[in-house]
Amino acid sequence: MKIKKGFSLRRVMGRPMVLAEGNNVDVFGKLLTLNDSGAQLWSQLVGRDFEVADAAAYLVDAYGIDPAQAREDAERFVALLSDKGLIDA
Amino acid sequence: MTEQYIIAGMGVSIAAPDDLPLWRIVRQRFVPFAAAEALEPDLAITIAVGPMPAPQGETIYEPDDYTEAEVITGRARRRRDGGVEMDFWLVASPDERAWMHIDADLGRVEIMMPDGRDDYGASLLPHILMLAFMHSSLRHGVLMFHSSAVMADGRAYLFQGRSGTGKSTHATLWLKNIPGARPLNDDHPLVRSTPEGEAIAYGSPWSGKTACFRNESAPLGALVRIERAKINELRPLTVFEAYASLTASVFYLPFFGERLREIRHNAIERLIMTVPCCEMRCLPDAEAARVCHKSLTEMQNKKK
Repeated sequence: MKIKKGFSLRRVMGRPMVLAEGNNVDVFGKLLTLNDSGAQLWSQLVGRDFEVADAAAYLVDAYGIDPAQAREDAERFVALLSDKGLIDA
Repeated sequence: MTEQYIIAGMGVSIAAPDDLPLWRIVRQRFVPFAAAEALEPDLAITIAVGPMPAPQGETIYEPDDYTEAEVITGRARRRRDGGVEMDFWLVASPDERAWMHIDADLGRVEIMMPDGRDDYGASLLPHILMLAFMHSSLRHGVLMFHSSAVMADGRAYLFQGRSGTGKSTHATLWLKNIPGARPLNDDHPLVRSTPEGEAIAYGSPWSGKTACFRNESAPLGALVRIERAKINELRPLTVFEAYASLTASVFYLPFFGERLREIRHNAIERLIMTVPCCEMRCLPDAEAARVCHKSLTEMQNKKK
């Protein structure tokens, strides 16, 4: 799967936020705020072809959490993006 | 000859040959903004007519595949010195080009229009001048909004929304139903946001399909996103919603680079902190204007 093109991550009022780029877009339907690790994960995955396992592996590497927990977090992250329509299968 | 204007507090000069037929197009929009005294321009624009200059620099933007004949599109290149040049054409006649170069400091613009095609130039030139202005003005803290703007009670109110949601309709409803309400601009008002937290809305020489080129200004009362609904109800946006709403409504082309992106981001954050940002879910009726005006007024009175 891949993160869809046309979105960018930036800090708004100190908090990471994913935004649709451009004029005349559906701004609220796709509005997404993240925590810092979510933002890290987004930066790792954007522009790449990835699977949940890749996201989980990154979390294990970066935060030293156990693989089961990482898998769960990664699944939740992907589901969140998927819900907002930000994932191309 | 050179004419000088003041737009949202910014000095703008336009120089072109005296006999340029396109002066008519420029003046129709810019005359209300004529400067009373000579000024040192923040943005100096030169318009010439002739063959297109040879392209310089690397391509940074290629047009999408548009099919609507009236759409203006273009291609952009960045020169080695940081300046950006663009070619423009109408999808209906892609062989006739106009050309613009804007320098790295966004203070000087050269425009080249095709010879003998004044009808064609008339559709392209306002668009090119607008693109030059909206990027140059960011450096001065002036944002161009995609909005319908009205003035009432000494304040300006800007209505945003996707095309077709009824910004213009809602603005017209204010003009008909709110005593003293006056139009400011129907499509491209400007907002000057100062580091001190002041926000002033201005009319501009661009107003979509309506010839509403008013040289007026007022403190910005609120930024209101219009959404169609079965009820009339105003609610404040969260800061994140407000940021999303404003970034979708402040014009600019991303390929102008990271520095301009930062300036725009900071200006939008500042606006969110100083100006009420709301969503008006509404019907296209008189009641909508009254509810919106009343709710905004109550919100302001509470703040005092």
